[in-house]
Amino acid sequence: MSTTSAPDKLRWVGKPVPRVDAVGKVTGATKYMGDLTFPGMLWGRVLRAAHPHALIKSIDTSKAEKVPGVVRVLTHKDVKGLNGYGIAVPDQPVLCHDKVRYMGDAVALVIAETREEAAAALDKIEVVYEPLPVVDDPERAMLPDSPLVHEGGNIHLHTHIERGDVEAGFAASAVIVENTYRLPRQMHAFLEPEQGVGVSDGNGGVTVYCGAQHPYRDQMQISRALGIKPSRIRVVASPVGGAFGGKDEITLQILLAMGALATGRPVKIVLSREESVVAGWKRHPMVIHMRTGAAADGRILAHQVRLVSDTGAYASLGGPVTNLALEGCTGVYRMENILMDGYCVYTNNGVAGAFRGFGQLQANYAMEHQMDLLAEALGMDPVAIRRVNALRGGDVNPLGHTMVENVGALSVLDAAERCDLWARRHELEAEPPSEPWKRRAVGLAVEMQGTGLGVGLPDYGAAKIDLVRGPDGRPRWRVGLSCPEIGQGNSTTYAQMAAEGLECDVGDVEVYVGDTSAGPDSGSCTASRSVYTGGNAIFHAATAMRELLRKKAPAVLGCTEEEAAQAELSEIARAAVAKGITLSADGAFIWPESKYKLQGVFGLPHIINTYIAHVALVEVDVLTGQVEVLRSFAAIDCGKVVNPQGVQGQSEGGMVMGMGYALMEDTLIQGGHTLTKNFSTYIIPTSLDAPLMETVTCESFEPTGPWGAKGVGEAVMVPIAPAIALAIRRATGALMDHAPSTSERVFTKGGVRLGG
Amino acid sequence: MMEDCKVIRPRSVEEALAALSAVTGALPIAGGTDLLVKMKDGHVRPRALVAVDHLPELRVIEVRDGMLWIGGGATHAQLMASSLVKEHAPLLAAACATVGAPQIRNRGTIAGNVVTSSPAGDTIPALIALDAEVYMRRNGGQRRMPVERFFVGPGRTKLAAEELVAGFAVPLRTEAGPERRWAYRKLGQRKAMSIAIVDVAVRLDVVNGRIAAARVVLGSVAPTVRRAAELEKALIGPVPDDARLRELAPLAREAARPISDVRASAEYRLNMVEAVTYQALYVALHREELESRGQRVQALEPVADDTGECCRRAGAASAAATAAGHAHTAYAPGAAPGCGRRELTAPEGTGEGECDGAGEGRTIRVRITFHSQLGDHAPGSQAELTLLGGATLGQLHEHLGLAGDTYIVALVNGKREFDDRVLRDGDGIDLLRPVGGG
Repeated sequence: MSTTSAPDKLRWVGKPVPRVDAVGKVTGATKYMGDLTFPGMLWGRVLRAAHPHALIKSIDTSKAEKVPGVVRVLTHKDVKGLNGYGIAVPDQPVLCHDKVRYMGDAVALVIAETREEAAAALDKIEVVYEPLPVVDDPERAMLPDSPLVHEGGNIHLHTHIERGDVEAGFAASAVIVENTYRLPRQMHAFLEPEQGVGVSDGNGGVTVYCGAQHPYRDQMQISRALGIKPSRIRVVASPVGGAFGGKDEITLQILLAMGALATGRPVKIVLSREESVVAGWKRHPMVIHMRTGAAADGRILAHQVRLVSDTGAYASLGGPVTNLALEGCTGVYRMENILMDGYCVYTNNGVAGAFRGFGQLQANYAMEHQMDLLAEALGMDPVAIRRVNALRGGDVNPLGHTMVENVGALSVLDAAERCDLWARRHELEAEPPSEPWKRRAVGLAVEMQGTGLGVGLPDYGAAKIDLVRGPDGRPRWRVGLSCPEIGQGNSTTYAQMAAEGLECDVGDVEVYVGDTSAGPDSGSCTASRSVYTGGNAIFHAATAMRELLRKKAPAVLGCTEEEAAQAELSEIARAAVAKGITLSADGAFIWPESKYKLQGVFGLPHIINTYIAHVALVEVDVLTGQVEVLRSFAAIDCGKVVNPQGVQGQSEGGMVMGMGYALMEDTLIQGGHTLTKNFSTYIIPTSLDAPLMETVTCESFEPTGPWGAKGVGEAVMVPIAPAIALAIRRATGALMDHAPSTSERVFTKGGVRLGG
Repeated sequence: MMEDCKVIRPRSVEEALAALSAVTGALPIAGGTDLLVKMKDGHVRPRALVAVDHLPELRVIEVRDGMLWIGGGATHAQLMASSLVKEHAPLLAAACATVGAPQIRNRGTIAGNVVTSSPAGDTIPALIALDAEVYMRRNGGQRRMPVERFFVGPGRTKLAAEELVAGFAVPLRTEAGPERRWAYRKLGQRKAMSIAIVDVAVRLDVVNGRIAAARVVLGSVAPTVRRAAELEKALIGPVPDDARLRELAPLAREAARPISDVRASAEYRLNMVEAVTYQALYVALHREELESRGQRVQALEPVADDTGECCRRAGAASAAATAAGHAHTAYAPGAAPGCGRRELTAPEGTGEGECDGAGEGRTIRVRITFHSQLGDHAPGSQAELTLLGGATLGQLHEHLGLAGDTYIVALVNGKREFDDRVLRDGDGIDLLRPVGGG
């Protein structure tokens, strides 16, 4: 295993520091936004669309306003600024005025003394609709005669990437495999639904408490919709009871702010699970067609991709997801000849947006299948074909970027090949299964996950450190930055990195995240970027703070410069706070960018990548098609590991989430109506379904990362899905080209009937 | 929703029956795991709820008048833990072990599962296969009927508005009686919190190598749970070999009238009727062989290699726990709360358990606190235990019947420890199952 990190003189980074938020969360003391109450608080309920696609002819709220307890009913007329939001394109109305495009569209907001009174008033709002034909098939939506979801056309984005000459590549290929993969609409399934409270300051300003992933961007979007200055808006977005990308976009923030300002009283909204399922973001369902040609020695000579992504009613991050998916369609491999077309298409099928993996899950599922199929066709070992093609440092990657950073594809592949599960796979597969109708097999897949936002998108982070006097008279270090704690443990890694940089005890660090009043903008908690970006900002702020203290040392300690130079930083800090001196330092960081730009394509390429390999042992009941994942293994190169159990937690949670994607999860929508509205029908794995999991880290040192760290949040759920599906193939011979591999699909494709 | 619904808390079954007959639109409630969901969705709007979950009379499990009596208020967890149920109706205990998750099994009752009358009610095929009778009481009267005849349609039964299911009577299994072969098999979308796509209960009474009586009962494939009558008839005769079983199992299709829904298509369900029926019959006839296979499955622990830095210990520790949880079919009535229960005493009690742990000579005393649903293990959820010196935490789990329990977490003196931890005199041990949903 390659470990290139410097000799370990680190005191906190890399150590299993207990989570700073553990006690509050385990004891239930932590208040999530729905737990907050304020004097005089009102309740809001949102009227959602009655049709998946319809024109609004009129909205009459007069009867609803007379319902006892109702304080206000807000409609599009009450949106003072831009009636739209969206991270990439603000095409989603805050409150619909002339048209609804999915069942989750917000039409009105009722504010009442109680939740029940607000609910009663929803039924009294009279909306006259003129239903339109429902656009529910993205392929048909692209045809010229399709009804339009948006006036500008149903194709939100078409990205075309071409390098080399695919036709020549195919002509030279010894084998060509060609398949179409259908990927499901996964739900984030966070425990905490979208919820929050808006509180007016009585002076035209407002505080919005709503769990989210980028408070400063929420502040901007609220400001734009309300037509008030960002400085009048405080957003508190942390803590979050799970987000996974599903709280990256606006959820309730604008409605909470509008409600609070319209009534002058605090307004709380808590979505029911059913409402959250219908209105909330999902992973983009995609259909990916791939044609891949390889030489007899396994080298990929040509790769052609057509990808159609169903973004639903609004854009949000559908464009960037499509682009990242295209990048993922080249896997971790060298390719000189590629031709790729990606389409991001509007439909009336709910809304799709950011989700852990951000297009890579869909792409990797398809690409890793192609690799195994090429290996089968060539009679090669699955690891061998991947090794032949894997990118090395210095390679020009398929998009044209020269890989100058740490490239860990081979190191995770080596670790996976050596792991007991893969090394002993023939033995494990030959062992008698638990029942005579079961078959066992092992599958493997590899991925690299681009981290950060990619070329062309501003990607930066800032952090602030204050030295203050604690209640016990000792120094306390307050670290503020905006990336919220969404449950992944970044506040703990921030504390570790700050303690490392400030040469202090981790217990003397207080981390404030996810609050526009407590720290500068460190960007979004997305794209596996929060440790890398936030950590770099902290690194710079801590460096500035150290220099500041050193400069002030002689005065603070009352000694000579030579003596001061010998003093420990903690000694200077102690002396400073004892004298009533408080200090502040800022740090900022801008991401390195690839010099190579793709014409007309934003967000690509990424240059800092997390590398990961997954191996899975499954047992398939061939009479029923039921699949059980018995064991799984992860080898991860996420740079320097800042907190080992943090990585383990991410890894195990990711493997189970990826397993859910592979085997059971799909939000079914028919004719624009969601069929799986609750966890009784939307199936996610339980603790009993979780395999025996093992994680190893192939530590590397990313020179641009804070203490060598990269990111880990997304990759951990990606190649496990194709690894499981490929194991099913090995067990049954079935190509699971339509995920998830429900027992019915596995039985239909690879099952055995009693007679035969 | 629930705003004009009052809750009546009677002091006896008689008072409950009086309330049910006096208040129109009143419904009895015990665990509420089905009823509250229906009320939340507005499918049921009772005028009053008559709570019966606290009435001990309804929770009795005993041998009564030559039958096994199971009070309607007995919870699934209680049934799984009962030695009488394990002896006389292990099929029922196995079915209970697949209901929901521990939280639901601790609240949900057998009468509730039956009265909900879902075609996917997990206990119903088992009760029918065991020829159980349902006893219904009303103010001043009682009647009974075979469970098989109790159902009218999805959500509809022959229970009258003023009636309460008092309990079920199941014929006893005797030494002199026929050899009993059984299996309960459920095909679901996952291992817990799972509604059956198809479930099958099988009971075969074998006399001198011949099947003398057969029950094959199908769930989730028709408006109500039903018997596969043709297959039952065809099974009478010599115990079939595997080839014959494969021929016979498809006869079960005749009883199935499946529908398509979000879980599965009708066509798949119909195919699964024969597949799962075959598997259930196979398990019933080859239980011993499969149990020994199950032992071998546990040999899945990773072999240590040199690649790991991170998480090795936690991975290996959860290995032992997970391996035991692998078997799909409950060959025995499940490793669930209380099922491996031993007689333990409260700290102030007199008797104490003995454990044949490793080590020699000296004994040690440890104090155990059982958290949440594990509390059933000892009065007051606390126990003191004398163990042989050198006993490990793993051996303690085994002694308590928790060794097969996938997600037990043990704290020794407040610190997380794993199976290989050697216990010392005076150790305080906390046992908890922190994760819900399975």
